[in-house]
Amino acid sequence: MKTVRFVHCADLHIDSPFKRISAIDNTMGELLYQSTYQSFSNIIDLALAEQVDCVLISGDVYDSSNRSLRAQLRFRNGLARLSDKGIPTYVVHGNHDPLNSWSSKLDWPSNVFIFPGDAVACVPLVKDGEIVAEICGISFSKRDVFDNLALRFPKERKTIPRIGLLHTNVGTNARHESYAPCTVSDLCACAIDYWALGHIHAYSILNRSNPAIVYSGCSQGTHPGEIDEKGCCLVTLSPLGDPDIQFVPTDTVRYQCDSVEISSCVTIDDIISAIEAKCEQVSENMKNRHTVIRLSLVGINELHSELRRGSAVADIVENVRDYFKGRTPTIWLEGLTLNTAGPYDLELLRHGNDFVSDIISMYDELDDPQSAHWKDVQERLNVLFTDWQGKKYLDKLSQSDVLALAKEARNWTLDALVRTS
Amino acid sequence: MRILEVHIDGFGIFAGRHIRGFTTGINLFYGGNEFGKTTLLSFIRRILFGFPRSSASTNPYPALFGGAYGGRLICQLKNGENVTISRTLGRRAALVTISTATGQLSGQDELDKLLGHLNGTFYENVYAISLEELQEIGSLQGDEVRSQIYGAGLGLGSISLPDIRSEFTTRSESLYKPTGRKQTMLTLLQGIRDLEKQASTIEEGLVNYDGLVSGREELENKVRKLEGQLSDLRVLQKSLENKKTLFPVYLDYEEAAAKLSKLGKAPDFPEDALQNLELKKTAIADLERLIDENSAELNGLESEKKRMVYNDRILASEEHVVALQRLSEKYRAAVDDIEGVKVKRTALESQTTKNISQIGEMWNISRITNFNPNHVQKDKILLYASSFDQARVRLDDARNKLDYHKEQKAAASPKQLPTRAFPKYAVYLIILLSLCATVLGFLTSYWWLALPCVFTMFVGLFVVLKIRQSSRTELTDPLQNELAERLERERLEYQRLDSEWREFLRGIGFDEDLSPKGANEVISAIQKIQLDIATLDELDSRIARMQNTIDNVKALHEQVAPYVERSYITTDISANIPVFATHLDSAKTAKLRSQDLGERIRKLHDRIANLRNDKEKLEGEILTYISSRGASDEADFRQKFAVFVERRQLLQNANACRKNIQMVVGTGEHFDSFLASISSTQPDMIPPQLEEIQRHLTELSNERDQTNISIGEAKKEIERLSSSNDLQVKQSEVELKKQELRDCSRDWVKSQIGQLMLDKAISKYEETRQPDVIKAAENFFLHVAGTNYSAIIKPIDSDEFEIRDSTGRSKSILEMSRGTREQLYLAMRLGLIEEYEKRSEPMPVVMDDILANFDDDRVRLAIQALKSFSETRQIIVLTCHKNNLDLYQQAGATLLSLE
Repeated sequence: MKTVRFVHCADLHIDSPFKRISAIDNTMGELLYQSTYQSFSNIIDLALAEQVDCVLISGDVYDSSNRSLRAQLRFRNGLARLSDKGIPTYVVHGNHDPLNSWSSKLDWPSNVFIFPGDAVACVPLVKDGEIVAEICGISFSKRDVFDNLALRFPKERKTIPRIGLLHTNVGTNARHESYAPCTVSDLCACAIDYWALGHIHAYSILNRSNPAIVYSGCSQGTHPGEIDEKGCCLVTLSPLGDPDIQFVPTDTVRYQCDSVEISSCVTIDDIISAIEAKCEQVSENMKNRHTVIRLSLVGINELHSELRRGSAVADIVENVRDYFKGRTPTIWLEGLTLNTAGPYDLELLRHGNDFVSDIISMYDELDDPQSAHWKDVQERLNVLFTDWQGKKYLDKLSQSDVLALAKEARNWTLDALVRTS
Repeated sequence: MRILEVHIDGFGIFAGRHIRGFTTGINLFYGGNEFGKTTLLSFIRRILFGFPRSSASTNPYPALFGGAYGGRLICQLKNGENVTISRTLGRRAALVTISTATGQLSGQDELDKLLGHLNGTFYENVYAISLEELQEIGSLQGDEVRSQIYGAGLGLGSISLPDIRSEFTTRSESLYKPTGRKQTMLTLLQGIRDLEKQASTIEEGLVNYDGLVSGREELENKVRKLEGQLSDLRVLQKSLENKKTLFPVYLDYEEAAAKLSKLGKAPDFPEDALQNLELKKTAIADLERLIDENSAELNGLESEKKRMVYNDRILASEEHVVALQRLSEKYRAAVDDIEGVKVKRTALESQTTKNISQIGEMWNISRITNFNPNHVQKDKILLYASSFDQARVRLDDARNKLDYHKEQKAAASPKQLPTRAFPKYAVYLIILLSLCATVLGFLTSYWWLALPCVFTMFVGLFVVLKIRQSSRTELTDPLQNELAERLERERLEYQRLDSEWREFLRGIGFDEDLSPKGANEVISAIQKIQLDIATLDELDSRIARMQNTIDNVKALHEQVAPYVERSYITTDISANIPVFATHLDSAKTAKLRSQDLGERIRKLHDRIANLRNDKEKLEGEILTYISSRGASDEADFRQKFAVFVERRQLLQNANACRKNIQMVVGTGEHFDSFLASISSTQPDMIPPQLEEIQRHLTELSNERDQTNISIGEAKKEIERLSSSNDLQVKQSEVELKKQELRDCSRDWVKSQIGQLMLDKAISKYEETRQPDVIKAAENFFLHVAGTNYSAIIKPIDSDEFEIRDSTGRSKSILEMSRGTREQLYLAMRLGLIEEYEKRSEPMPVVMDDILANFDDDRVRLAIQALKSFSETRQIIVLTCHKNNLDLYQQAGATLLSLE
């Protein structure tokens, strides 16, 4: 049994639009447009530099089923670079780019293998004229695959290591759609030594060995919710010992959410300085990557009311964006939320005997989903989230989401009540 | 604050009016209609809060009876400080000033501070009311009023809950409203849908990519096929065009070939054969012409030479003629000058002789010519002259000294007669004169003169000797003796010198008596004579030369004259000489011309002979040239050459045609096949065939061009699809709007919850708590309205009031009587004032007949309540009702009037 060294990546989402961003300028927009392709290019560079035996791509090469032509051409060009150096590529398609989605009739490089969607296929990996491993995989034939595809993988062991490529939601991760769901047990039951999984965008090792079950995560974050470093796995399967799995960041733009404590700020300028300092700090930690930052202001401050007034927050954001304009690497303050409070004692107010204490008590009662207030809120919100024609574009709000928003509404109310009293 | 005095400068019907005596409690003004109650009310309002902008609905209260518009209020603040508030109408706006004990301020802002930022509208609606405001429900519906009603009771100060609610509502409805059409979220939704459509269009375009690629390939194949057809057609078109173009050439070629075959073979001639022949013939003709010309010239020259004669003899005497010419001028001068020179010589000769005789008898021409004093002699003469001068000086000196001594001596001794010297000198003079006369007598041979003079001279000498003897005897003085001796020595020396000089003169042949100066003069005269003698010699020589010239010319003339015709000869030799020369030149010219003619005649003979030789040579060459081409004579030669030229021309034509054809169709087999093809072609058929081909070509070209355009468009579209990130950009735009929509939905949720929860809290508050304003108003209302009612209800979110009767039934405003409604409104205002003044500067309350619609009991009760209300306040009541006046006065009101 020979050592097998390969790159495992997934969820490239080449040419993905940036998502969940409320505002962007041209510079950062262009960087975001290029980011998914650039991270894929970084993966190719890594594979060439490490002279790996193969590259595995576990689904969602493209972002949408109607994949853009430029994305396909860019993907093909990347694979051609590998092919030119004799490195084969094995690809399965996932829910974002199932086999039944449109694809241009491009001529793929000779040693690119795209797994079918009807059944698990196994192909040998040949190194120096010798079969050193077997690569098994299955693509999504359509987007909505809810079958447990893991069950279709071979169960019989071989003398050579076997690698499985699968786009799946293991353990039915609630934060991701449950495509091709399976469990760790299902995976362990197969005669696979390394599961190269895709679909979950965060890098994670579900099982270190026997078999190794690994999500490489996406190669580049595509929205502010994906704040961790993104990249691929450089894996070495050796006859002795557990697989050596190294995570290699390949992202070029990184998202970051953070908060800025402004209790000690006396003026708006102080707040702006604090925000700029935070952005600088975040950027420094990104190791020369472009950064999209979403910040929330926290703390109790006299300026709270002023911040809430009119376009104060928007003005601050513009000010900070202007400050970082032209900076390399680029820093983009994507959003600034106001989670501050005025200089009043909530507990004291809560225990008063006036209108303010009444309203605080009512908000407190919202925590009980059985309360009349909660039901009234639900009923009020249904006007938008149930009845409105554009509801499909809205986030479905959980109870905690609603309670968080209610808390903000309470603070707004208290700001108004306590501000002028 | 309470008013102490009112001063009206000019306002409505008031001018220069003053009201003093205001107190705490009720201050009453009583007067009939047109009294000016409402004017006073407005004055107080406007002094405190400003003159309103003029409008149709506002009474400006112009100063009808003069005075500066405005006036002032003298007030006392809660803290006891007095202030004067003055307001006048400035140029552009009203000017308000506040005078305090510490200074003066100006501007409404300063006054507002003083008034505790009391809102003007609030004051107008609550504090300073007339019956009109009292009856108007809207006057109690202002924001400020609502705020005052609820804010204090809620524990929120001046907070306006409706405002907060309105903020939530506004915010919420600006984002989304079920019945709305222009809300932000709806706009965003529409934007998202539009963008999605655009993205969808782009996606559909992407699907066309493969079709575009395959379509492009098909089109490219079609173009290749069309290019092939076009190429074949162009070859055919070219072939036909070649035939059309070359057909005349082909015909010429065929014609030349046929003629050549007919002509057969002919000897070759050089290109210039005929030209050479003609040239030789021309050369012979030229030679003949030259021979003729030269022969004619020869004959002419020979005739001329025969006619040519000249004077040989004068030519033989050329030397003499030349000599005569040379001597001609000299001869003429000699003839002219010779006599004059001779006369001049004779005169000089006689003068010279005379000059010689003046020097001395012994002197003649020969002696003078030979006299040649040298330098030594001249120097000696000069030396002697000097020596004589010196000796004379010394002698004179010695004599003078002696004479001086004698004079001194005589002066020292007794005077002696001076006559002793005188006779001596007289004697000397006589001796001298005698000597001169003697000499003159001897020279002139006047003996009668010479002899007496000799005698006289001897007598004189005798006397001198006597005198001298007597002198010697007197030499007894040694100095005198010495001086005498010296004198004697000098005299002897002088005599010696004189003897020596005389000896010298004799030596050189001069008269002994000559002084050195005279000797020099004689030498000079001799030298001048010597020059004259030389001149005489020169004149002699010159005369001789002139004579010689004359003699020579005459001799030469004699020799030449015979060779010239006598008619030309004259007696004047000088005139004949040019005639001789002319004759000589003519003879020489004629001789030279004769010689030249002879030379030219000889050369012409030689040249004519040469020309004849050349001619014969050329004639021989022509014969040889003609025979060399097989011709028997020149005519035959010419005929053969003509055949040669025609053949050569035909060959050239044929070759040119071939070349032209080959340039178009090529050489070798292409040329041969073309000839074969064109020989079977009907030229008339070519144009229609070409037209047909051209038409076909145009059709195919157009089709190809159109196809190429389609290919270009397909390529462009393919390139665009390949490189475009339009889809990504569009999808990103969708995502941006989606995010914005999500953010809006969150804001909407917050607004909705805020609004809902606020409503809930207000509802709860209304049910469980009532504000102090309502409570205060309720006290007043119940006091006035009696026991029929139990409470006033003011819904928190409504401007409407309700009253609850003793049975607990609520009665709305509309259900109340007019009087009861006004009592309720008055009660609400008093409640508001109480609540407001808990934390603010109290203000004077002004009421303009507000009890007009109250019944008598309720008027009384109301005045009682007002009395109670005014215990700590100032109320200014304006009324025109006598009954009310009495009741107010019974309640302790202070009656005031305008001064």
